[in-house]
Amino acid sequence: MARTNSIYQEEVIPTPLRHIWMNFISYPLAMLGLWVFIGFLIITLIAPFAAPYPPELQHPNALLYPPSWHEDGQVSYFLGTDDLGRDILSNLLHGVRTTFGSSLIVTIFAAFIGIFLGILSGMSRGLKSSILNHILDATLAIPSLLLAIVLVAISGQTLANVMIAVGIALVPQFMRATHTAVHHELTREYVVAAKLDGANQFQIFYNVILPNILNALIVQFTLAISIAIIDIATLGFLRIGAPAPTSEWGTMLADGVDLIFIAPWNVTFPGMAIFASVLAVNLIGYGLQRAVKEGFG
Amino acid sequence: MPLLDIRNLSIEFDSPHGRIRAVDRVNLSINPGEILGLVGESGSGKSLVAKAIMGILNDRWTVSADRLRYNGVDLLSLSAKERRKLMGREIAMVFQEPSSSLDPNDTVGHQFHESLPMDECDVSFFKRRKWRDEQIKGLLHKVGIRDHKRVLKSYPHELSEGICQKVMIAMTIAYKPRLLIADEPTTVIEAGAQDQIFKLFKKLNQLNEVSILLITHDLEHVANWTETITVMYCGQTVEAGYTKDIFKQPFHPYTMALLQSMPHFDDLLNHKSQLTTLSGCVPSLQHLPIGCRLGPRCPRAHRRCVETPSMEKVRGHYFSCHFPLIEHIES
Amino acid sequence: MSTLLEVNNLTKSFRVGHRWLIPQYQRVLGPVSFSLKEQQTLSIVGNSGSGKTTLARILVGAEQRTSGKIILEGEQLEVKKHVQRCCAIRMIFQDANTSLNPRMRIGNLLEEPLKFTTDMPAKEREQEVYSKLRQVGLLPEHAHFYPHMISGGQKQRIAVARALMLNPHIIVADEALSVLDMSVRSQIINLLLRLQKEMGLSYIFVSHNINVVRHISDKVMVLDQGKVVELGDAEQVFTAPKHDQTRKLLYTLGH
Repeated sequence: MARTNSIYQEEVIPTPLRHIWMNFISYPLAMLGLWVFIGFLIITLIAPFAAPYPPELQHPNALLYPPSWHEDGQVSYFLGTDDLGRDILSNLLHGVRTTFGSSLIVTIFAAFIGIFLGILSGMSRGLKSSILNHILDATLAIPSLLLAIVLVAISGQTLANVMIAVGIALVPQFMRATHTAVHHELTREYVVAAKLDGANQFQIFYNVILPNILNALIVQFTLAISIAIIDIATLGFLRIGAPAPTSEWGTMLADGVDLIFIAPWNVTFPGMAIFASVLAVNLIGYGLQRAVKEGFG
Repeated sequence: MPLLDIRNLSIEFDSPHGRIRAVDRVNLSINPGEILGLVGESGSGKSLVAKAIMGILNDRWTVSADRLRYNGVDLLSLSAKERRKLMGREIAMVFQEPSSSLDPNDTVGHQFHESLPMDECDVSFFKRRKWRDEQIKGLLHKVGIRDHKRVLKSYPHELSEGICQKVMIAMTIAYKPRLLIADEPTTVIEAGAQDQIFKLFKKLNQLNEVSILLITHDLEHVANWTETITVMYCGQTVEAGYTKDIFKQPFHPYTMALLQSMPHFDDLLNHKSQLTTLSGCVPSLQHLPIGCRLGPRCPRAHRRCVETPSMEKVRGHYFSCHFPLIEHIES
Repeated sequence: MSTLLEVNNLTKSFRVGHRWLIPQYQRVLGPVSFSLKEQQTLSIVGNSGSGKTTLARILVGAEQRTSGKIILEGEQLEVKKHVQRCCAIRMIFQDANTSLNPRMRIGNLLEEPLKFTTDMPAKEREQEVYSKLRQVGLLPEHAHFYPHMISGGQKQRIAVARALMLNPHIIVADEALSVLDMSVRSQIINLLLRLQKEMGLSYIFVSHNINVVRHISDKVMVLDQGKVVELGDAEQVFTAPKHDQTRKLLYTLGH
């Protein structure tokens, strides 16, 4: 729409998305989560260049060094080493790619597939909709972690299989959320109005329903990222995740459990990393939920 | 002595644009046994006035008044506990959407049992349930619900709005209040049941001496069912007085415009002709005009109207306008 | 004045359950027949539950009829052809708050019918939207607003503008005025009467406010529990009602 002949030149009317963003910015906790998230993203990209050592390199003369601020520690092994002499900091940085980065990729793919299927089932009516609904409920009843374990056990233990397994386990949740949101929107009056304007199914979906369900989908996406991180880390902890020498936070935790009394830094740092990433994502989700609820009035 | 006496009530709140006065020095008074109609469009602040009397506005709003007295007691100086005691017993309120005032998860009978006052119950513990059932049956018959068994067993969504509103009124008169505030009680109810609700109000007023503050936006409701009216526009009182006087001869241009905008059933207007209305619309809270708030829309406005007019009285008929619709003023 | 709309024996039944796996139907709207000429206003009155909203929605295409014929401008209306209908008969919804998409700007909302059914270029669509906004008494600048930023009366004007969009011949208004305040109501009534004169529209009005109905309608149809109880000229129905139900309805509505 042309703005050149507008008389209200000093008022810029924000779009709903921009309004939600402005609400989001005003929550300090959510902004903290966002900064931490961006930090992790940057590390994902530059990890090979930022890590001081290759992660699987073992230093036989530097076993179980404590972190550098301890009197026995050394600055060159900043966060200490584990029982095979591998530098914990480098492993942590490479683990960002494995745990955090792959969970992002997995969530994006699961979101695409789940949302697409959810839209198809949400826009259908009658018998088809009823059948799809019941199938969805059945798939939701399976716990995602169990499904991932079974899939990895069947197809072998590689990082790709882990990602596929966690992704498949996430799809039902997206399907369900989308299906419910679309179904709810279809009962509104403005959908009837659009139908009476001569819109076909696709146009109704794209113009009318999609902008209104975007909020629910974005919130579901952030929740799914945190679930994916924990699932991948859990699989690693159970030693059925990505095989060595891929560094992964869960595997580091599993390796460090035996040493917890003599070298607790092996467990603390990966644990804190998992905690920080999940907390950051949850804070973002919380901020988004509040921003959406405040509306754009 | 008037039962409810309000003088210069102002309700303000803080917004990013400054301090906004949503209700600007409103005057209201109800005598015992009277039905007062508070008429105003949406945005006129009448619900805010009702909530200020009940004390249920949240902290964002600041209420100030020269006098806000109920039965001689100053409501603004009461503590929260004393206010609560007064609100439940003496003043009762009925809201706009009755089915959402009731808990949707519980049957009507169960809710009524919970909310019934037990002060006057003088029977032993075992006979209490039966006593409550008798009381509820009596109250429902008083409001005009004959098949009380069916109503008490139903959930709120199974009953029509008219019956839900009657149930709400029954719940409030269980406390025998002296003042009943009805905030747009019949807006969502269909026309046949609306009449029944108004007749019920009249009956309560005549038999039980309950004063009623009827808040509505429809002049047709107040025409037949009230004795006095106060008309509000955009947070200011524009006219007050006896219903018959105001309908016969309104003094304020806004009241005149309201009366003219109702197409009457009698043949006063040509079929399909244009109705006389005020141009423009009610100003939003961010852009309130200074002085008389009808100024920008009023056909009789002059420069003097940037000063808020004070309330004047002619033979029991109050109005606040610099250029009222009467030929000569007596004082 | 030619007959624009003719309805013959329209009925509507809903499925209310099953008995021994056979679906049971209940008729909610009995056989309805009427005709509507150009620049005529037909009002449908009745108590709640009498089927007036169902009839309005069937006429405009939001619900499907069970049997009967609707002949619009000489052509029979098929049950699902929305595109055919929306150029000739359109609806003003009751509650403007819920029938306007809250995520779209008003300009985009109003150009939707044009986008879906015609292939006008964007510039022409914009001009059309601006001209309709001016016709209902709003400024072209309002096209950039979102629905939550304007008042209730203005939202109802937008609903009227949307109904005008494809230059229809008949507009169905389903209790469009009952949620409005009195002064806004009379402004919208004036607007509708003016548009009727300027554009030659016919109206089908569903309402329960007898005063307004008497003022603006030429013909009145009274419905009770789905059946047509009375159908005739407005004056005749109000001064000399033939049927008991009409008398009862006039009495409960205040006269």
